[in-house]
Amino acid sequence: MKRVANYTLKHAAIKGIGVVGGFGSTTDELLTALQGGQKPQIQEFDKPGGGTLKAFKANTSGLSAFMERRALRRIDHFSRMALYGAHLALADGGIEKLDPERTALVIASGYGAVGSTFTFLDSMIDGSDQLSSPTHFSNSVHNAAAAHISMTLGIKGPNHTITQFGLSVGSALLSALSLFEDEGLDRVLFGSVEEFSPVYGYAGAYAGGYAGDYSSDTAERETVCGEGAAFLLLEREAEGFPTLSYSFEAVEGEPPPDSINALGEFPTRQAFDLAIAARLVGEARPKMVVGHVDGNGGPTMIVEMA
Amino acid sequence: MDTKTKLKQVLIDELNLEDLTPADIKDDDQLFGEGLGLDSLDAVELVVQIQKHFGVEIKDMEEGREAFASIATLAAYIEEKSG
Amino acid sequence: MSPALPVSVTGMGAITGAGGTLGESLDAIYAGRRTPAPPVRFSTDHIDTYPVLEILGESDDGRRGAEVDATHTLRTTELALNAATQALADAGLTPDVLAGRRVGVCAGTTVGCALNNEAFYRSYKKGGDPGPEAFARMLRSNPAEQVSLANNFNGPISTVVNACSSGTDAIGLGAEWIRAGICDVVLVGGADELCRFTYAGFISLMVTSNEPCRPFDGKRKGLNLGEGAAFLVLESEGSLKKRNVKPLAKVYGYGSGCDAHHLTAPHPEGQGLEAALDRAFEQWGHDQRRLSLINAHGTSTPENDRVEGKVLAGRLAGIPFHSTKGYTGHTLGAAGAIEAALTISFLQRGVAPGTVGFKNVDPAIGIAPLTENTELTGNFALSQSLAFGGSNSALILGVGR
Repeated sequence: MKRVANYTLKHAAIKGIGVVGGFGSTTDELLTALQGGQKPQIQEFDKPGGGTLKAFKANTSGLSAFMERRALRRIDHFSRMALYGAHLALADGGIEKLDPERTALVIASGYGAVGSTFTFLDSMIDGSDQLSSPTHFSNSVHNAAAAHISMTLGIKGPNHTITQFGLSVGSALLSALSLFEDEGLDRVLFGSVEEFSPVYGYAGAYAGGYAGDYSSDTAERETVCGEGAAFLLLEREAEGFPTLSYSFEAVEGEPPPDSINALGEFPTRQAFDLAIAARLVGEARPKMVVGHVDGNGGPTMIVEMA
Repeated sequence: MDTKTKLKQVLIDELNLEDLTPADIKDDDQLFGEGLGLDSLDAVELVVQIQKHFGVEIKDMEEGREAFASIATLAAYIEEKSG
Repeated sequence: MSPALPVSVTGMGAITGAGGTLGESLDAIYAGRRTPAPPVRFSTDHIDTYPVLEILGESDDGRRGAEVDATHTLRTTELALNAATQALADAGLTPDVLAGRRVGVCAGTTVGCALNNEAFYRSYKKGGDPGPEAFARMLRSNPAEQVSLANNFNGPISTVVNACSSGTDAIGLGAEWIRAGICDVVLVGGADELCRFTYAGFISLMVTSNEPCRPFDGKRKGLNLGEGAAFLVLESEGSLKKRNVKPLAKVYGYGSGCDAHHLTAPHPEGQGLEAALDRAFEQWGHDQRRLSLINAHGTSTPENDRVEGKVLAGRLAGIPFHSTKGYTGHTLGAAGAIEAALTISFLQRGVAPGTVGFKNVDPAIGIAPLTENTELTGNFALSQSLAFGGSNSALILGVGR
């Protein structure tokens, strides 16, 4: 589909990166996995009707370095991955305390808190409607991760969660960058989070068909599902840091190494591509392009050195 | 198991107070604010859990407020209602 | 922040529990008619029943604007397409006129993005093999994507999932696409169907009333859920000039702020709402003294109305306010969009309706909303939303006269 004319929004500098996935929780581990060094461990899940699903699952136990166990008691795996990614991005950027009023939060998620969605349905189906759990319901909303992050890190600026399946990252980034129009904001913490669910895996979520053209063939395709969170701490442009910009027109540049083998398949993998590009871009690679075209077109995101 | 001990276990299991054991919770510990530090979302979750584990329905929070003061008041409320 | 350029609104459409079109909804609201009733599209085993504002039979009335099969998509998408089609017609934007224009869609929802299909999941849990259809149906139902695809638009799409402030935020974020020059036209709005999942969830939170709701009333017990959709057409000055039309209204300011306080409860002093108002007023370049109406979130839950009431009686004191939730129910991701369309309509007619369900002032709030149709003198209104997760957002809307 023909895209709208070239338009580039304001750039933003990437000051910190936080990544969590089957590969581990550092960009080094991500790059190692990308280069085929340390393969993430595959977990298998039984599939109704026979067969198994394969997935790379993220481990969030490292979150205990940032948060008390008590503070995590009501926080599900979806939000824990996001919280972990957010903390790591701040630590990478050397930020100990954010200015609450001058920081915004934008999160992309293709499928949202699928674990708590089904746990809530479990409480309805196994017990009764009368016994359905308000805690699981509250954690099932798409903006649950954003809520937990804003509370934990004290972010009081605008707080948005965007969902657009495979276009989620590009769509959310459009809003994240436009927040820099507001002179009252210095930073935008931008991230993605995606949770693996055997139910989604079963239904073919990870085997393509984002545009809705599901066919039974794709369900049989050998796909390793993935999950994780990738966060970028964005500030207005600054010398010496990778900058991120956004366009609707394909531009020349080297794409980041394909991350599917290191991460598995899930809708917001592009946020990891951005993180990879931000790590790799430099003298040898002046510009890297993270583009995505889906059933309804898609934007191009460019990472280059300032 | 008496109601108070069972109630403490339900709180620990259902509200994920993994760092506590029933022995750590005193009968007159406040459930909300100081004490166990529970909040409004825990309160509505407790309403569901009390119905699930004790078969006692708390219809609204006005009624629940007094019962939710401490382990002792809540256990007394449960015993009275399940009579 | 310096004031931002106002963004023109050239068309509006809505489908609500009060009426099948924006006009029908307004007629019911001005007549003081509301029809809360127990849900009929689904049943539950709750001991009590909780009235809701459902939209029944919208598939048979010939008003559906696009070819949508309810087994093919979620009802949320049907509602979105219905309202979007009304809005495009109201703006006079036919495919011919739209050809060559860059058109985006920014829409809020809560249900339109989730796989909470109960029949599918029951079968899956039992070890059955329900197939991918429920999932595929969800993939075909993203409101922004489907409104874009149904109309062959070529601009950006974004589905905002900020819970109950999604509709307000979608309008604010979409307005930025016009200001930034990314789009000539943006359809902004929200859509949400009522389903068993949400119904049970809100009941479990004990914020749902078993009676028709009573926003800001001292004896309010909780909210009534609703469903519906609304879309506004935002248009650039260039596009307006090219086709020589005048705007119906303008979006003058938008702001959002987060409580960073609690997963479900609002900040006791309405801190995030205050921050949202600061941003909206800054973008507008004026303050509350120029407002003649506030469309409050006014869900009728004890907590929301108490916190919102504090802000209404504080910095917003003296400005007439009301809640339309009694007529539409709380439509979650659609609420902000529906209320923006209603608020602009009230300004256009110069009459603000009363707050159905309100009788007595809550001493804890100390002020009363409008209780009957009241003539408006000014041209500017505020519409605000408070959400789960501590999101708050505010829109300043105005009409020229």
